[in-house]
Amino acid sequence: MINCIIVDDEQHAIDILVHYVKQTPYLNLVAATTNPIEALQIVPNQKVDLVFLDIQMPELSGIDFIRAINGKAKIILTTAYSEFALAGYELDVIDYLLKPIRFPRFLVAVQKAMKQIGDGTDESNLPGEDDYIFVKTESKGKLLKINLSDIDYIEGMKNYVAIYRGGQKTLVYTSMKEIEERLTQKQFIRIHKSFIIPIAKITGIEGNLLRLKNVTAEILIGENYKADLMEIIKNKMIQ
Amino acid sequence: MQLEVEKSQANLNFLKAQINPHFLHNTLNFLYAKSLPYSPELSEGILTLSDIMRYALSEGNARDGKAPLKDEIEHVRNVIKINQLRFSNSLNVQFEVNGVLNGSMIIPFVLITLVENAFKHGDLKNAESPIHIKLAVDNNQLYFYCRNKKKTGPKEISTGVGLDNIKKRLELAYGKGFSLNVKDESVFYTTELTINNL
Repeated sequence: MINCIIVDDEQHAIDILVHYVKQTPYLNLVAATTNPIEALQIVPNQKVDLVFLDIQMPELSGIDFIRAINGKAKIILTTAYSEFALAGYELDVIDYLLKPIRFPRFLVAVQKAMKQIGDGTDESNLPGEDDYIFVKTESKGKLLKINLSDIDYIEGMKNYVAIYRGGQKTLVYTSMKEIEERLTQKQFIRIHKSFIIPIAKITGIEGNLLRLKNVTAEILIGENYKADLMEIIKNKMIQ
Repeated sequence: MQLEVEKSQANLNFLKAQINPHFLHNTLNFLYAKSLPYSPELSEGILTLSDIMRYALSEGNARDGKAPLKDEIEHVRNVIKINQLRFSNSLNVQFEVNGVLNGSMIIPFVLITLVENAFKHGDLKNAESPIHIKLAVDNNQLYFYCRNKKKTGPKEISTGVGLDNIKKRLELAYGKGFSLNVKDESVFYTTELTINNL
């Protein structure tokens, strides 16, 4: 996960970016603030990797902010007009985005950031960056890319499937069977009529309940699925 | 006296044209934020308007007085798109682009002026006679064609400034290396532009 913060003196500009960050795999929003001075404290204290930074702010300009944090985090500039863009490049920023920002353009900038920062997850256990699927979401004609390593678990609903990532739920129009066929090759396992989980993120099993990394709820293991799950666990078991 | 009136009018026109781009795009960003929970169509309209205004105010990203042809085409598409949004996709407009654009440059805002004229004076909802726009690039030669059925009823006020302006600018940039033909017939209005060497 990339830890990011959003700094902009206009709250609605923050609202848009929060909305975008929540839809983006790999991004973990640490804070969002209209006060750049406050943000200066957050960067070193909370291990921030990436700052979405407005340029024109009354207390402290984005340019001064970049100088002040002195390379402690990567920067994506957000600005209403491009006249500052060149100054931005001199300061070695990852990208600059013009407001209002389209979501696909935002994703391009995030991809650039990911290349420079790396995602920090354990590559040996989890699927790599290239392992992703595209899904159809609620909005018509819209496809969403989902990185498999971001999936916490998947829950089957009546006519669709909910994919949980970092506490966020994405509804996808497909069936559990479809998802299961695509994902079980990729280190996922179905443990219940309604649940598919990433094997690497199991943190504990107690009776018929399973606990997952980053998930507070316990997931029920279905009777018909328990044997398959235990078969996989057995390889790792110390008697 | 007359001269002074004209001069102060020109000054006023200059002031009126001073739109602060930061103010404009920050305001559009605010409207975009508020639109997100309510209407994807509204959000898209705001983003498209922002793109159009950004391009128009940027003077077409022009270097040495010329803009990338692909940006000019994008601008035309955006203007068509926002008109379609305004009229619930009911406008009959065809836009074809042929050939490889590959870094071609053109003086900015010529194509959009011709398209905007067609939108202003054309019958946009006629099922049989769409606004037909064609653009082709071949060996650095540009061919552009725009034809519309003329609107009946009250005429939009036309100053002819747009067309005169692009003629002058084309002459300055391409000398004798272009032709701009305007056919103003009783039912149809057609403009054809050829630039021999972009």
